[in-house]
Amino acid sequence: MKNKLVIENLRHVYNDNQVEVQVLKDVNATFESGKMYAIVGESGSGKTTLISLLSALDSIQHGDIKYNGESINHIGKGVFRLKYVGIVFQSYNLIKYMTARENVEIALDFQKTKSNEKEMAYEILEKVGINRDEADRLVQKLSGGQQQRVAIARAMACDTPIVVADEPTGNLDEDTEGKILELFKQLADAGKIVIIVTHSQKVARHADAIVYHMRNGVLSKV
Amino acid sequence: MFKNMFKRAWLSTTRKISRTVILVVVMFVMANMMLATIAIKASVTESVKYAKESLSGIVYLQPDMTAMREKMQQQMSSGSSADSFAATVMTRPTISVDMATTIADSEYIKDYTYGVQTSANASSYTPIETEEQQMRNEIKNNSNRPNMPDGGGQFQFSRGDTNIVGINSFAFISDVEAGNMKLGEGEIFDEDTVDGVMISADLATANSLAVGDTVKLKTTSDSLDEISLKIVGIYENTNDNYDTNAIYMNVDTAARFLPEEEYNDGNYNVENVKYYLTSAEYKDKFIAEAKEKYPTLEDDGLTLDIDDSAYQQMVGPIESVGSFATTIMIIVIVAAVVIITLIVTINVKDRRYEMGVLLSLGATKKNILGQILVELVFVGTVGFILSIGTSIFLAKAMGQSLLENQTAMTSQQTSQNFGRGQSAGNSPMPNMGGGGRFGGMQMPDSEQQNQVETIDEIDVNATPTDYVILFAAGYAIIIVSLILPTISILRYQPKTILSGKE
Repeated sequence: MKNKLVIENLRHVYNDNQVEVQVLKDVNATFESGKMYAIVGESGSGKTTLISLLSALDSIQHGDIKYNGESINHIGKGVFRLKYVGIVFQSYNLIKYMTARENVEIALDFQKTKSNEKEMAYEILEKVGINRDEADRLVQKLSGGQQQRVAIARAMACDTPIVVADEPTGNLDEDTEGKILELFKQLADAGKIVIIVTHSQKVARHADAIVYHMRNGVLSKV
Repeated sequence: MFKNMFKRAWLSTTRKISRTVILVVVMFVMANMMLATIAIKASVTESVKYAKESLSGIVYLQPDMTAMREKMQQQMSSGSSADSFAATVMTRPTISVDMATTIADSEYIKDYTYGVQTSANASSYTPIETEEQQMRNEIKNNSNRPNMPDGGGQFQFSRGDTNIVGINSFAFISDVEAGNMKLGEGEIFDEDTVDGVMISADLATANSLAVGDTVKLKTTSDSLDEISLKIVGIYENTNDNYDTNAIYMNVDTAARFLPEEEYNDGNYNVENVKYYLTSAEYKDKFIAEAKEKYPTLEDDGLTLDIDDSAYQQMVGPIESVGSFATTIMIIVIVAAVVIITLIVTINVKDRRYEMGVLLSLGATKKNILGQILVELVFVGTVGFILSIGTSIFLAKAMGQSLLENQTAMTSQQTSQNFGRGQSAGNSPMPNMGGGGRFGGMQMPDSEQQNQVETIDEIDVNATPTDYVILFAAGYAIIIVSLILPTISILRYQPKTILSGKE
């Protein structure tokens, strides 16, 4: 049976200088495991808000998000972030005073991995193309592409059924972009729900993903 | 989760060296100041305790001169008759021997003394010619002139040529307590000595008297009884204007020289009533107890005054040091809280993305708060431990410097007060607290003050308890400093933190 992440009638409003701005308007969507999804839209269309709600980084105002029929609010946002969703940020958001390996190890720690976390971290990093030498460097000393790989490795270390990525290739060159998207494809092939938010149609096509289009807070399948 | 928290804290502390060093220095300085003040306060407490144990206060039972003066001023301003005014002046409140001994029956008293002062005329020897004697002779000669109001040759002195001083112990004579008077030959009298007296070395030399000799004195009462007394001791007095003719004896012996109406069947009036407290801190309890025994004491024109000047002189400067130390400690604590709060605030702002990421990875807010706490406790512990080696030197230097300043100030004040006191309390009457029988304004003369040395050295040492207090206070400061900045960030949603819009 496939895992399902369902968005139901999601609405979200921001207060911008005492003016209410509706950024999400009755959004409905279903995401299934083993598939990769791309949410494409221009800046300000509401993609980041949607992904923040999908990854339980923000509170749902109206509507619901359910994983296998159970609401995120019921699961608990903290638990949902810990056990259900791995997040890859556009700006990587790695912990700067740690090495690449330590960043991954921290995620493994949260998952209470019983096996040797250090070796496991090396293995995960190798999967995303970071060798042991690079793994032992402070993340600040790695290139943008390498840092994004580390961020993906950290999301992989969480071993969550959902992986959400916000503009994961925004800061990368074309060659690296292709490799990173391939990594997400592999995650989807491994049975995870992979949702990538991007403003680039090219990325969406390249990823061979199911594409959703977000415009003025309305999500529609392309 | 905890392992993760400690691991992150360790990595953050060891990898962000400059921040860690700044925090360790702040904690080190704070700990030095705190431990110094804690150690100084502990030493002050010990010194004050020692002073309390070693020094007693003295409570004086005496006429309330202030009340008397006010009463006289009231009468003068209200235009009272001369008789009424004179009555007020002459009706000086008295203290009976019964009252003095009843009040002395107290657990707060370790000793007490009172005296009887009267006069007599020497009959078996010649008093030394003093200014007072010359004045007496002059008045006698003048009284033989025909224009004197009472007529020639009829003038009688109510005072004799020799001051009789009765006191229950030689040791309680104020000149002895002040160190001006001591036993030269023979022995001192006590309460059980029968008709034994002490005379001055000058009087003994002038009349070739020695220990064991008998002297005869006539009372000034109408009966002019002659009383024989045995010299048990000869005293020496280095005071320039002491009364060389004064004869000291116990109260019972002195009372024999009182006129019958003053003797009052043994319940005669006494002067210079002093109660030596077991500790200066009991003064209020003792005074309250005495007022309970004699509720009309104040209405009768009497007052109980404490002289704890010796105690104040001894501990005043060091108590001021203790107050300074408390003030410094408060300033240090407030400054430490402010500085650490600012550092933590900057640190937390700087690390908000890290917090957001950790929250996105599933860390709880408590876990993140715990990480920052562990980091601060770690650097705090290093700073506190380092301060153990240096703070005691700072404490010694600081304590001594503060004490020297305070001692200098106190000495200055004491010398100013002493100057004033001397001019006010200078009296020709001997050894009875600067007052005579009727002029008897007993000024508390701070007898102990002359013998007491101000505590001018402070032995500052930090005990294990001081270190425990330092670590407890230090960690408390860290927790207080941590709460505000951390909560201000962590109350937001992870998205808000990550977007930097908090």
